[in-house]
Amino acid sequence: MRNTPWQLFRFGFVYLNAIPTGFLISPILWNSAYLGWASILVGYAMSLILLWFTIKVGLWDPHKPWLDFGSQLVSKWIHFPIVFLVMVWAINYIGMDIEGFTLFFDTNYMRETPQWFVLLIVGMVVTITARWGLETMIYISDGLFIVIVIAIVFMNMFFFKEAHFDMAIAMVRHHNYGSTMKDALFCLSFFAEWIVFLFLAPYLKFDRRSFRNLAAAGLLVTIGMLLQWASTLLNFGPYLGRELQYPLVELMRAASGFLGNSDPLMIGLWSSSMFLHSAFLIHISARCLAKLFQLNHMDGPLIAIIGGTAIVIAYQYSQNPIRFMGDFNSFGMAVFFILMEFIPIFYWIASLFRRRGHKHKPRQKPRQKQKPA
Amino acid sequence: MLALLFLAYALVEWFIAKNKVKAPREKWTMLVLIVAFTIWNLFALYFHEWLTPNHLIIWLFGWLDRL
Repeated sequence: MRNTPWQLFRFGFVYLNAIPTGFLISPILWNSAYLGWASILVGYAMSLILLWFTIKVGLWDPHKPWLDFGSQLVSKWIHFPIVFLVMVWAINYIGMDIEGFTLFFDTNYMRETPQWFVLLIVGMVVTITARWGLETMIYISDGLFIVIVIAIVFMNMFFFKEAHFDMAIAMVRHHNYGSTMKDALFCLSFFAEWIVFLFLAPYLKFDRRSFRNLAAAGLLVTIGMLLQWASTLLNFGPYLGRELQYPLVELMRAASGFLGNSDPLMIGLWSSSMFLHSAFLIHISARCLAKLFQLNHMDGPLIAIIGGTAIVIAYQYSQNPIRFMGDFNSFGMAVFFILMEFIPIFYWIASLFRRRGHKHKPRQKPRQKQKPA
Repeated sequence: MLALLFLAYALVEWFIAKNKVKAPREKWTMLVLIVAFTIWNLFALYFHEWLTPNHLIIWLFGWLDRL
């Protein structure tokens, strides 16, 4: 695979941008309202701490995925249950992704279509994307990156045109710090999914620039979120804004001219990053399951059963959408996610007591050919 | 229906993959996994109160919402 220095940055951005764009704004408007900017920034700052530990773990052996060298750090008996936990987390996350996306599509565009059908189509797309392999996903993210960034910039340019900037003063005059800290943890659960990048090796290897690349990806997602949160707040205010399930879609529909008709284009872009997010999670759970059962050549069937299970989980959630949304936005769920994101810290502590198994030899200089006498 | 569709897809993938694999352990482990996941999925589809991961997570961490 051809590697370029900023590939990790682009992949990280497309992966991390998917869920917050769709599902983070309303909960922040509910709790921290005008202080949402502080929650987002503090959430990002805290995520950098977890990123540092993740990079340290990844650098322990940059040529192998964490899945393979983790047992050398904490022993097989601890590593395998953690791998199982990551697998369950990933499969459930795919189920929540698919149901969240289906709920959005079903309520906005395909009201008459049975939900199981939309679930099936979305699930198939995600599974087939995962079947193409990680290399293809990385290349897809390369292409998607620039289009998504341009779309965010243009979208916000239009959104801020009709914003009520007189509301902006409330962003510094409100002092509801209790809710802000709780929301910062909520944002952290979205921004700090760094553990998934430990599965990128050997396609994308960690090196000394990885922290910079992933931190920059997180920063770009944070800026995008700040802009989208601010545009929602300054257009709708905190009370109407938080009642809207998908405020960005409402903003686009309320806009006049080009943007008013461009929601399918924007939704298409967001869908692509959602699909990539879920496809990468399928790849992760398939790798975990393969590791647990020592299956080295069964990627196809593993992806198929994991995709199917995620769709069934999404179907279960679709039976009670109110409960699903309540669970998805609950603080308990955020804490569970944060605990999963803390796993690299545990491995980093273990790595302090373990010596690296092997050192990579420096590349030898090629010998100069001696001229014949 | 959803579970059976993915059972069929997984079996097709398994048939393709098993020709490339020499170790019988790997073939049969994969088949057992396909059957186990399908049984779980069938129960999940037809029993409304079947456990979901979210139920478990909220059961364990839901008390934090009251803080």
